[in-house]
Amino acid sequence: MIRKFHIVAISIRIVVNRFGDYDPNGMMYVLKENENLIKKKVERNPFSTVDLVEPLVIRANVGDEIEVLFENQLPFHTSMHIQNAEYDVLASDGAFVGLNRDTTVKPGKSIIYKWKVETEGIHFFSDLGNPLSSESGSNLHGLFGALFVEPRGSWWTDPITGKPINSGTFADVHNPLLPSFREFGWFFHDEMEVDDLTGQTPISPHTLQPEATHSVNYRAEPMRNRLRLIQEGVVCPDCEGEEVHHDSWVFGDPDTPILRAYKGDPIKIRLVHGGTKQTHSFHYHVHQWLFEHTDQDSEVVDVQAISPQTEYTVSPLYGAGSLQGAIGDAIIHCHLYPHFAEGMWGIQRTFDTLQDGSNCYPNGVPIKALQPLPGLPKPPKPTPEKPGFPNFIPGIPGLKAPRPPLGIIGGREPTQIEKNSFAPNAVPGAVFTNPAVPGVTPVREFDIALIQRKIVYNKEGWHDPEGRFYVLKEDVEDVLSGKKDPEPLVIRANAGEVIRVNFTNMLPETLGGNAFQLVTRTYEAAMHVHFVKFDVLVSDGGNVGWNYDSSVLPGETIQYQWFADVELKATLWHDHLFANEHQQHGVFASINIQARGSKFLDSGTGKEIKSGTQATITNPLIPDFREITLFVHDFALLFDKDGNPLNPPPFPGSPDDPGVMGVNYRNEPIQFRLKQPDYDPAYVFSSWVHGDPVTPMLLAYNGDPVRVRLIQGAHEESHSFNLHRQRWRRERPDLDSELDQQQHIVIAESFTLEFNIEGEGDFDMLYHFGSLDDIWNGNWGIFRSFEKRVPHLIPLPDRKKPADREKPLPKPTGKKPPMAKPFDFCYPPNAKVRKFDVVAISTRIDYNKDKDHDPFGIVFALKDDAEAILHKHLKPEPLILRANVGEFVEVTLTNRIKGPFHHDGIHGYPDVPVAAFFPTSKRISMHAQLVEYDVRDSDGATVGFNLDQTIGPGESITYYWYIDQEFGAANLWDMADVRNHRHHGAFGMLIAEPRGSKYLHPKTRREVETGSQVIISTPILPEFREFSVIMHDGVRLFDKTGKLIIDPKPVLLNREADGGEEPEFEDQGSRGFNYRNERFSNRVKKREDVFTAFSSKVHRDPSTPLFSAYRGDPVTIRFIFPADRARAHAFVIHGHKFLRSQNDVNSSIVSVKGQNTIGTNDDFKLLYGAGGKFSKPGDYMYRSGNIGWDIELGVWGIIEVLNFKNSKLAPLQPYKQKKEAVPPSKRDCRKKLNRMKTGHVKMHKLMKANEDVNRE
Amino acid sequence: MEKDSLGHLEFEGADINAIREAVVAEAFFDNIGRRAFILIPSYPFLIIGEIVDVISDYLVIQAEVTNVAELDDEVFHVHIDDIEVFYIEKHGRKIPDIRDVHL
Repeated sequence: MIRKFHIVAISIRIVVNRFGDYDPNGMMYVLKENENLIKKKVERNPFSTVDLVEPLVIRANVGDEIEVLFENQLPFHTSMHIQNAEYDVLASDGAFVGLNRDTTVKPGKSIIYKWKVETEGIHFFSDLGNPLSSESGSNLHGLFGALFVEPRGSWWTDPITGKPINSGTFADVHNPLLPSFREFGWFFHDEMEVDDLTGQTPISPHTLQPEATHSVNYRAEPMRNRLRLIQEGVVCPDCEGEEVHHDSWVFGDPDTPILRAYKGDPIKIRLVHGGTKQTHSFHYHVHQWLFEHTDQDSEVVDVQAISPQTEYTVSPLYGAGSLQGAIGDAIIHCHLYPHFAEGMWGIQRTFDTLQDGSNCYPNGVPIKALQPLPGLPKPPKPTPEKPGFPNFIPGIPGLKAPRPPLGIIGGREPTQIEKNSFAPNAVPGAVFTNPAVPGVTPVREFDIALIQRKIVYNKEGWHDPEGRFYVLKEDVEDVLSGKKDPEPLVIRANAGEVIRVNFTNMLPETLGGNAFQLVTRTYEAAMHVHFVKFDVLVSDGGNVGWNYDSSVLPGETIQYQWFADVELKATLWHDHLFANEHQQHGVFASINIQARGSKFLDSGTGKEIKSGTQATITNPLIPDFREITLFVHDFALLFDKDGNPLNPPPFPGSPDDPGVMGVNYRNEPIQFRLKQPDYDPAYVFSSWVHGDPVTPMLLAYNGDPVRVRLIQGAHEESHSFNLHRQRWRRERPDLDSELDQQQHIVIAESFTLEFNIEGEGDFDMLYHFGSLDDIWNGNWGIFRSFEKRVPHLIPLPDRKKPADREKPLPKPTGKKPPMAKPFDFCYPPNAKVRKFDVVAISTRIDYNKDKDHDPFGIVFALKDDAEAILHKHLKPEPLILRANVGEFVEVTLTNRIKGPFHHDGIHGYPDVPVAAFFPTSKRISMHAQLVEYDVRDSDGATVGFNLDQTIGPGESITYYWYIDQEFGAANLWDMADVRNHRHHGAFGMLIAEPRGSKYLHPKTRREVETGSQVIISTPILPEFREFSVIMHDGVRLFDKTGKLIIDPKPVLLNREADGGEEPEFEDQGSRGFNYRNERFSNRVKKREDVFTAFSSKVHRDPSTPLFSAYRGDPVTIRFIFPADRARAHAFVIHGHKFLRSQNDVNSSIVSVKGQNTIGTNDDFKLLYGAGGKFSKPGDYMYRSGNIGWDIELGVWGIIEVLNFKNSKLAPLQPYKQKKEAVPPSKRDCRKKLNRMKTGHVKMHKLMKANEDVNRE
Repeated sequence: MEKDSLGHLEFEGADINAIREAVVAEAFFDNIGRRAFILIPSYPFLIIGEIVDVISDYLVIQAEVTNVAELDDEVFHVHIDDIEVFYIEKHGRKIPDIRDVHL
């Protein structure tokens, strides 16, 4: 079927809320048929939101062809570039790339784009005619939308009228074979230019300083406007602000999306990031969903990190209201608290009564009709006795929501109308729905308090004077008196249990009054929990929409009920009333839901425990394991021992990345781990020199099963958990998911990393949170594994007891450890050993043809190439090593770095929070991800009580690795000086190739040892082209005149004149692919010319790698992100698609990979090969998805897909099929069976034999 | 009727799948009254309880414990082909109890 749309790009005033905040330079795509109507409505309502002003969503069915007549009414070139669809890159790319013709559209003109769609889901589109990151660009003003592709045969209707619609973010989707569902487009977007009603930058009435705005679907409901109504006495005069930010009783409903459904309605939220810069944290209260909604093995999640230009379908299990059928308002929000406060939230509202348009909300606003989904029972009509949600709640509009019935100790009596709506098995904390069966479901009870106490983070006296955290009530006295150290509270329960919590608010009424925060009343507190099942009206621990306010005042106690229906990971809980104000002080905790029948033991004493971040979990049916719960957090508002604030914000209350970071309320900043006389950074992780860090230590015996429960507790940044040596499946329940050693995480995400400790002897493994910002601030620690018994760790009860220890454990000596020597081992007979001679050298790196360069580059290179690089005959490229599965690898690294180094101790730009003296190490090392090795000699890091694995100038070391499986791309990097080496280029890539592979030069087909593009030739599999892409940031460049380039700086804008903010630490530095970038500033001088920036016709080919393939060639892109900052980036490939998890055919088909950060490693096998399904020749861009800074700073390149044979590129050899397989004859089978019958054939052997016969 | 293409999957003239089914059914039949542990691919995934009967190719089991507390003590009819893993408590190791007796 061909569907035709006429779409216009228009400029429009976008009002984002009823307070009149607006983008005067808004831009949007609109159907031509709606253009005049929208323009008229906006003209007539200049200060109000207009329903039709929303991101354009059009729909089609799988298999459809789409023709878009695109018309540009904006004053510069614009376009529509679509993801996931098949198209001809020469005609419909929506960009002007390489040698392609221009498919952007000049002002006043139009073009026809043709797309073909083959997979259900989201096909994001946006403008690439003007991808500037500043307000001169188009995307941040709203020029994005999506094509939602539905199952074949579907149609879609308006949820209010039931009539067919041509566009709209919300629709009810119907299908003759499948159940109808509610579809909600949810577009996060950031950086929009939002002014207040007066045309000025919005001012926060709390800080009296300018404030940003974060939006959903061109709407934002920031706290600042609602706060003003409180301050002016219009509503709720005794309220503070944040505790009622989401309260519809006080303010009425927000202008941000409200996703309405009846209890049990199937829902698909099409989650899209249309913004330009931030990686957000999508959280949907009450509900959970499969990460891959088409894969039953997939991980269950309730938070999804999302980078710019990426998308996910969120299909909540059990539909609206989840398993328990919770009616009420479930807030959906970006969990990054500053974004939440600045407007990025909405509500999913679940009704229990029919809404036909005749009812009103408690404040008199009519409830729009909501068509019941066909095929589902019609909800009952509301009656005066049972008016349905929200009209049974006895609130008063203009005042704060009432407290829930039953739950609060000493609280009010319920009204009769409330009682009429009670669940038959109502109990305190589960009043309107209760999934537990009284007397049957086991109950576990906890008494928990939230208290305030100083928390000391490290031995240098960094501390939070107003640490706030949950504790078991029985521990309050011990913690307050200092007998027990604070740590995030972790309690445990088993699957199938009801958890009843008696929560007491013991916080003081105020917080702040220092360099970080203004004095704020934080007089209410609660426990909002993730994952488990609860009644959202009374146990949400929040104050949302028309729900009750399920928090309590100081001294009060409330009862919550949670039901753990299944085994879960670590399920976060935190306060939801003043979260933005105090979660970064430590207000986060977890309940870890274990398999039924588990017991939780103290790993030191073996006694049962009620709480603790670490435990030994035993179970009669499944293997016992060690559990460690790690909470990473940022915005830790700490002071040094003298009371000086650490990294204070520009003004108190500013969300501009204040403070430092921590793991479980601890940090070990590396600036304090330098030691005289030479202050060498190579030993910052060494326990010999400095003792163990104060951050959590995981203790285990070799072979122990381990589950790391990883959570981010606060507050705004991306973090990247990296662990040396041990590996896990990315999705724990899915054996098809990728093997990994790194995990990106945003606030409120939770992951379980499960592995058995591999290794011999006693050894230490480093864990760290990846980015320079994290490691600098001390977010790292040690996992220690023992071969022999130690008194402070019980053996796992179901494992063989470790032997007694003869030698004492090591103790710090204050001295550098001796060099590690390889332990005795011998290769198996016929082992293939691949050897590399690698040198680390200092060299200038030219990032582009305009001579932007790093004069202080530190790179790894093959020894044979080093002289050529040093003599400028060969341009330095990141070292790429390859080895085949089954091979042993020996890398002999020689240190030839001689400098010059760019500083003698004070680094400067790109800077870190709490900068300090930190000289450049002259030592170097190489650490490899994902390979198997002995941590004691081949880790490439000098960690804990391991011996030294870094080398000084002139020295050499050999690392021994084994490639046990085809894990694809892995990071290689230096661990001798994370601060000073990595961003200068001390990284590379290792690729595990299929067994028997040869690596051929793409032109000559001669075997090569390195190179970013090669042909991989194997004896069994078809040949494929391999392109290696290394994305990195935090680079320190100079221009051709020798002037330091301070990035990011908006192109074509004078920041000083613009009044723009200084970039955050995580954005500081230049960036690129493979030591190269192609900056817009070197190519375009005027806004009108921006559309030409990618064109080789107008300029020249970019300096970034130009990858080449013939159409149809199988292509695999190897991708890593080794350096350097905390900002996460998206990676986009034009015109091609790949499986999100390359070995899992049930995973989503996508053309973008988000959340790339330090340690990311991935492999993109392009479906259908080069040129996509239609094998179209042309230039396909690969690039960052972060329009905010990356693209204009040059993070883009080209894959050229050639039509005709060219001397520059050798063709792949055609795949010759081996002798055609002949199905086994019946006689062969008989023979085999007869052979087996002669022995004592067991039934299972017979079956196995039959399988073998079938394979033959 | 034409013999199906899997006709070669036979053992001494009998259908191999039928043999497997019969052997498993027999294992349960011979142990009626004993405790068994079974894993099945569908809800509730795990059942521990007493073998009550084997009716044709269905196992009747009186659950003591399942993966879900609400289904403890129920009687289940499980098709023999759905049993992925089983253990019948005879003279070997006792099947442990995972009920939350300590709560």
